[in-house]
Amino acid sequence: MSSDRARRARIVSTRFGTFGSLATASFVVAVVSGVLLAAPYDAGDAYNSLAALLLANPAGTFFRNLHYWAGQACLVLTLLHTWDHLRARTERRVAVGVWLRLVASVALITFIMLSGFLLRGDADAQQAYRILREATAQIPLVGPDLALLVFGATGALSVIYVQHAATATIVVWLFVIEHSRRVWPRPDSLLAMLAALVVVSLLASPGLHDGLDPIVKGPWYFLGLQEILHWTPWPNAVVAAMVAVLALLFTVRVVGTPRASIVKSLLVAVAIGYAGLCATGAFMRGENWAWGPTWPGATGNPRLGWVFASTPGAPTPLPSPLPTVMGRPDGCLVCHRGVTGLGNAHRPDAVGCASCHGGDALTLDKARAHAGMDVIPGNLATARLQCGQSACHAAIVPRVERSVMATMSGVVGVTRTVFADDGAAAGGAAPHVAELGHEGVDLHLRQACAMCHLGRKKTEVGPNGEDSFGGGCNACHLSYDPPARAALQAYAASKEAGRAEPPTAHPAIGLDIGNGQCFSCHSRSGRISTSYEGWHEMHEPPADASDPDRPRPSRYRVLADTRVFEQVVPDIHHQRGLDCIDCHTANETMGDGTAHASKSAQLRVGCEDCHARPGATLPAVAATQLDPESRRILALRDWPGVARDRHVRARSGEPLVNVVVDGTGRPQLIRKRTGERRPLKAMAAVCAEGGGHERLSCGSCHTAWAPRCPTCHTAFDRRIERYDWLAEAYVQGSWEEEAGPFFANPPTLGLRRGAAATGSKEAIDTFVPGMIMTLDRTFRAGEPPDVVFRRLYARIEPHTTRTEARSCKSCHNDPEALGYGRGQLRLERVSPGVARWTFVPAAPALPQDGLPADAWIPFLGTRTGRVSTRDDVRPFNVEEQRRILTVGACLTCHDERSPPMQRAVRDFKTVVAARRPACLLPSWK
Amino acid sequence: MHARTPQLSRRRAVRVALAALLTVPLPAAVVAMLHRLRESQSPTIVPVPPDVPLGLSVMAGLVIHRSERDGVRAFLGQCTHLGCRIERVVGDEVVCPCHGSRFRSDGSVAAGPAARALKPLALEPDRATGGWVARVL
Repeated sequence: MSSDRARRARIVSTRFGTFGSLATASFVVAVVSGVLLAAPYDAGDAYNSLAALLLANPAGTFFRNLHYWAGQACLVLTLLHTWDHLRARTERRVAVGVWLRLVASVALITFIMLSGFLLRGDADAQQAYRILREATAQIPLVGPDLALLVFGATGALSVIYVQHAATATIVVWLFVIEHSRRVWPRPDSLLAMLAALVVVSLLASPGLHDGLDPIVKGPWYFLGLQEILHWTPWPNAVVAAMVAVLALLFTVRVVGTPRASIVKSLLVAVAIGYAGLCATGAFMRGENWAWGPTWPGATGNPRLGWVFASTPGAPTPLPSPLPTVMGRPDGCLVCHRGVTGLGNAHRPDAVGCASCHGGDALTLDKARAHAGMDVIPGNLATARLQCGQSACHAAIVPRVERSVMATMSGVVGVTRTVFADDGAAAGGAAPHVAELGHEGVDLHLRQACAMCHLGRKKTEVGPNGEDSFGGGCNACHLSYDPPARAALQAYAASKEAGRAEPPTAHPAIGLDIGNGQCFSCHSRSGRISTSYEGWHEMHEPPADASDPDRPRPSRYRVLADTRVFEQVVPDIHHQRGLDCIDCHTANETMGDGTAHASKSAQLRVGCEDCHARPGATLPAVAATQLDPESRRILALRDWPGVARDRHVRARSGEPLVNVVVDGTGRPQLIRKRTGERRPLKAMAAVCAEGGGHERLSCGSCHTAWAPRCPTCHTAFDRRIERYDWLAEAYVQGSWEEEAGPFFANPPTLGLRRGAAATGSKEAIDTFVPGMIMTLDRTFRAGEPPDVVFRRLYARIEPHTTRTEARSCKSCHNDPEALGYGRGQLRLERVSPGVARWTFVPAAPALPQDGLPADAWIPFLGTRTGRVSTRDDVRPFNVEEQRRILTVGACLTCHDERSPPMQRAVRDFKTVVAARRPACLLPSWK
Repeated sequence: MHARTPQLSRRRAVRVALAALLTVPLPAAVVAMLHRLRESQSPTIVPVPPDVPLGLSVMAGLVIHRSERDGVRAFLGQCTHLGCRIERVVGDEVVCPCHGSRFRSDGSVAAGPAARALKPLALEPDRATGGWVARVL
């Protein structure tokens, strides 16, 4: 007996008592602080009562902290006390019945802790409540009744509050008294624990999870269970395992010493494994319990900071009642009160600040409130958690992520096609700019193109300008009105002066999307935005952009990136005041959810959706038949009188919010930003004449000009550095482009399959020299030279539409329109009634293929192999060229408005058959 | 020698009576109370607005799927694993934030730990709004 005693280890005893007495002291502190906390706490409105406590009641917050930390200490010390006695083999000192109740008290203390977590009423607590109630209800036989008894029937917290504060607490206290044979803890233990807990409670405040952070986690001691439950579809098995662990703990007392040692070893192994699972849950589980490193920083976790810290920015006294967001107290609006400019949908009392900007809305301590804040929300990397929250625009953000503005699929696909060996297929699956590699063509894209994609992060506050790129939702939906600009300037000035007074006017977030939002990206490549406004890029070296003595046309413009543009002919829609968004719909700009391979594949609207064919009417539907998103937009726009209109359904099937047919049957376009109505004209009669012109797209005739850049050379220079827009760093080596001259001429014509004007048939459409270039693909030092030549035309919608159509001659007698390039196309008489077309190119022939530098096809010839950046287009074949030029021969003598040519539009064969002897027809021999 | 007749003392009688009370009538009364409580629970009526978006969405404790072909279908937005509320759509699925179960647009399980499909709910037309209502118990 004595030798057995000698082998026993001693119970750990500090100067202030054993783990057990310290645990009892913590328990008493928790009980007393809980009684005090009952005054401000409201179980019927748990979250709001605690939020008000955190915001405006530092002393109350202190007692909440004390309650929280005393509970944590009690749990930890109880476990240490249990381990201590098992280690010292003192379990036999207590009677079996007492040991049984002590084992039960471990479960009860865990229940008190868990129920206390539920009483927070925040996002984590609500999910934990559902889990615990469901897990209890699933226990065989007694589960449903037990769940009702513990949690009540209504889901209110009042029942669990009683079980937490009274039932379980009283029972545990009775068990502790029975075990320790003391009603009160040792005074030195109580004082020591109280001192330690007061210090911690003054410095660390558990927060509340507001639900904005999508990560849902239980309390730290529950994370191991959460991890186990992630792996098992049988929660009852987990409950049984927990009961088994308690049974093992009980077994220690009733079996002999050798067996008890084995059981203890088993319990230690379980404890160590469980601790590892808790750590896994805390640090390796993120949103939706997905695997990955995660720092536990949600708003529900404790935040460091002096509880009684002064709040210099907050008004004194605090407003009463506190400002609320969606009925919840909100600290942001205490300091940022009266902020204007956000519009109705995003007004501060509706969405608050933290729902977009993050931070902690439940403190008035500026540093804590702003910790983790996102000053510029809406970037695509974070948009799902901000704009795309489930209560906001959850369905739209995933669409945007797949849209061509985010993927740049068309740019990436075309560029890769140009770099690939001739004949390699274009199109196919939609590539994504974020998946670009670091070499060859992908580096070219990174350096020359990747600044424009929507996923590029906006990093500086302020309005979007000519040199702003990306920004996710902000790229389009952020707009600064004069008060917002002034507020930003005032804020910058106050910050410089060391005061940093918060701005009182916020930029608008909404549907007021001006052309300037589109300009920065769409003034490049196809130059749609600049062409739309009538600006044609002049080929000037950047160094000359700021030279005031350089000879310039009378109207020119220098962009922020030093490119110089001269004013030519603007698009008629621009002249009439239409914005980009007046034609382009939400599905076109934000995507329809499909990852399209090119921009044109994402487009839904064409000219004929507004301009009816002669004698036809536009198909229209009542507003009640619009899709939900269109109806929501319509409600937000709130245009006067629109309730009486019917909405035109585009040929793609998409209803158009702002193209309507009024009560008298007149089609009208409503300018989205202003609500101003514009009558819509039908097509001219000639557009539907047929007789050979039925394949013409509207743009073929009504495009005034297109930006043409016939030749360039691209090569990789390893000696110099260039910025990589995806890596956001300079990298060694640069893809350099040397562009040839720029022209603003009418586009070349060719054919496209599946054009909107003709359904699935081929339509005549507009083209420009997209890539006529020498491309030095040599990338690595020491590689053999790899220079290839490309002669590719690109389809384009230049956005230079005019009411007046181009002349007949500008197609039938123009070598550039036919694809031969600039030059002189002449009809020479060969014999009576017979002539021959000749062409003298203006541009020199290129050595690579002998064709003029700006040609698409040889004069009256054709080409094999790849001829375009796309697979669904082609130039005119020889037969088509001959037919066009045959009409062109007539136009050399007859004015296009003359009776014979007017008749020829409808029936050319009859007119030719009735020609006079002096008429010349071209010979093709 | 007389055989001793076992006598039931008063104290023992009280104990037996109390034990009988604790083992049968009192638990029976508790069960009856809880049974009545369960019976008295009434369903919550959850409105589904007419402009519910196409595809999957979650709202007010429901998972909604709307398609051109099948119209609007509703499921209880409660994970069948342990009852967590489903609040997020990820791609073509809804996902439980607590343990990561995923469900397809027809309610079936795409990934565990949940083993059962989401509970489908009947939708009744709501003439007042043009939408629907679902009854959730």
